[in-house]
Amino acid sequence: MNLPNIFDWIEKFSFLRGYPAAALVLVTAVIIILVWDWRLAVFALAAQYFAVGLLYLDVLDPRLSVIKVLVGWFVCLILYITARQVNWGRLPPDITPEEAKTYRQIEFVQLGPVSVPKSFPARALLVAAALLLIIWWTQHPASQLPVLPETLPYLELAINTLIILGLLGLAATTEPLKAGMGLLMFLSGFELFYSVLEQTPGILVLLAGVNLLVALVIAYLTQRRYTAEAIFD
Amino acid sequence: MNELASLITLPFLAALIVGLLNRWPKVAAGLGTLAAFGFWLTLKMLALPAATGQQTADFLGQTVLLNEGIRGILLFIYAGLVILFLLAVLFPQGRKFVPGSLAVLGLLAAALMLRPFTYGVISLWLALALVTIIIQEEQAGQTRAALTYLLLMSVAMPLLLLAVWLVETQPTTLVTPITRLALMGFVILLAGFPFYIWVTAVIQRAPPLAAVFVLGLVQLVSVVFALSFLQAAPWLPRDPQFGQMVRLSGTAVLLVAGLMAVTAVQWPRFLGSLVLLNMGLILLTLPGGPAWETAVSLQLAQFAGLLLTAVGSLLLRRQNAAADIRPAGVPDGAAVTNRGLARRAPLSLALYLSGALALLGLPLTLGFGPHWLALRALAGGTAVWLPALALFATGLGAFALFRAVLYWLEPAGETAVSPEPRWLQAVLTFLLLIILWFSLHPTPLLTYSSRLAALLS
Repeated sequence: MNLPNIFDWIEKFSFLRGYPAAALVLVTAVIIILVWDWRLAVFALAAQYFAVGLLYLDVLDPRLSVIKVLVGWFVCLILYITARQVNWGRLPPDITPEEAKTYRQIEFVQLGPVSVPKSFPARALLVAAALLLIIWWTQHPASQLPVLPETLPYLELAINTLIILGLLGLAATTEPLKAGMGLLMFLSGFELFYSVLEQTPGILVLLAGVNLLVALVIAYLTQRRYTAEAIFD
Repeated sequence: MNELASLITLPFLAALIVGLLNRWPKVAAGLGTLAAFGFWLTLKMLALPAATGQQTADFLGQTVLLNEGIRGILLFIYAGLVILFLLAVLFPQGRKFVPGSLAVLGLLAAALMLRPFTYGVISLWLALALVTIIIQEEQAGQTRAALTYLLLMSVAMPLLLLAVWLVETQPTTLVTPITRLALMGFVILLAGFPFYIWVTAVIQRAPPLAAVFVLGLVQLVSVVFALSFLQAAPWLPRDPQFGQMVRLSGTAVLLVAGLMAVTAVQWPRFLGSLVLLNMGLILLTLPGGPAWETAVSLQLAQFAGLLLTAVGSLLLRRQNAAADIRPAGVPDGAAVTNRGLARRAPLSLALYLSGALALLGLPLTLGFGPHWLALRALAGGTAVWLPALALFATGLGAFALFRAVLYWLEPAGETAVSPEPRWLQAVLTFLLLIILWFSLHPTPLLTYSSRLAALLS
């Protein structure tokens, strides 16, 4: 039996290359910023790394693109395990009602049939403004990124999305895990742009190291944020 | 393994060994002291070829380069760490401080020595990311300062990578809007307005010795990086728009520092304002070309000032002092205030004040020389109002300090602050006499910093 190699896999997903991948980047970025459920956000980040990997195929050797995706998924694994360890940022299950009184949970408001976090409307407005900025930025000739191949206009859309929504994501919250996901999005956007400029393997390896170290630091901060003594202090 | 590569790898090994012993923070700090002293000795004894004045080696397929300038900076960092680790034996700072600092040391050495420049930038990025853990130091729940630092540094470093690429590949003298955007990375790294918040966050939340490490030693590498980059591309600092951007940012930082000083009610915020004052001056020396001597001496004064304030505040905390510098800074219902502090712990407070005065750069203090150099550099520039603004901000800081001293001198009834023991008074008197001597005879310190600056430039 012949196992499919990476080129076979790339061929299978070729229908997603180009604008569909850029659109997937945009959708996942909006999900990461807007949803309050960490499980969904980590899953969206993993999907985003996959979409960014498809975009890398246009600028990097396919094997390097696959490594980029694997590094991204490893980052997601670190975040997933951390989020599980802190019970997805929610109240620990073995808590007594007396102990629960001191814990500050996310406050929800009723918005039609669904209840959403209090910060959701403001966050949604900011995302809408950022999306308008991305669209304007991508279509405005004077603000186009230099050195990007003119034949790959969707790259610019994906880079702008990742950088602008990444910055919004890291600025919109003080939660280490959610802000960290914003930072990782920003770094994805930068790396996608930078890989057009610089394709030395040594640099790519070091940047992978940066991603993993940043993920570990985010995991550490999340652990400290949700440590028992912090919750009940 | 060659000596240059060992300067990068051995700190990691030392960090690993010390990390295994971090259950006993004093033992770990002692071992860390020995390790840092070992690195200092190794580097001191390393002979550079007289003909070229530099040594190169291969490290993981890349070139590492050591010249007199890099050696001078590394020696200063190693010596600084020996002092900090020795102090950590007396005042344990937590389980991450010593092993974390040693690991950062390896990355800082890589940042300074790796060539081409791009590899250095990424190594610095890794070092700054790791510094986050030292800032956090297992404080439950308090993640905002460490997160702010991580986020801002991780936004700055990609911009620097872009700037390096642009300078290395684009035609010289061409400064585009993208170049200016990329140069914002330096403004974040050097705490320009509005990105200065990481400085105040670090001072307010990090353990005192960790704050000295981050803002005194790690920041020295960032300053050297910025100056080396601007020296490699001399047309950049002369770009009028870049000059305007940096001047505006530096000016705003000076104003913020002055306002923070007069509105501060507790000493972490006050100390943050003094550090910002110093960093604002460093930032303002960038337009028009790198002023190595001024920037390096200001950074060294920042290390000295922070070190003295850290030791002073650690001693005062041990004597049950609070953090208020004005009556408004006393928390509601607090049993302990600093009113009358100067009468109970005069020498510890004097040590703290000597550090604060060094950061302010008032005459007859350790920081006066570097601040005088900065004022002269600013007076020689195009914006003649800048020295006046720097003096105004310093004046606000001096006023706030004077007001705090009056508060600390007020007679207090009952106080929880314990008096200094005799042996501590003797040690502190000796230390204060040394500081006074160096304040009155600043030539050796200024000569050291100007020699270091000359080697680097």
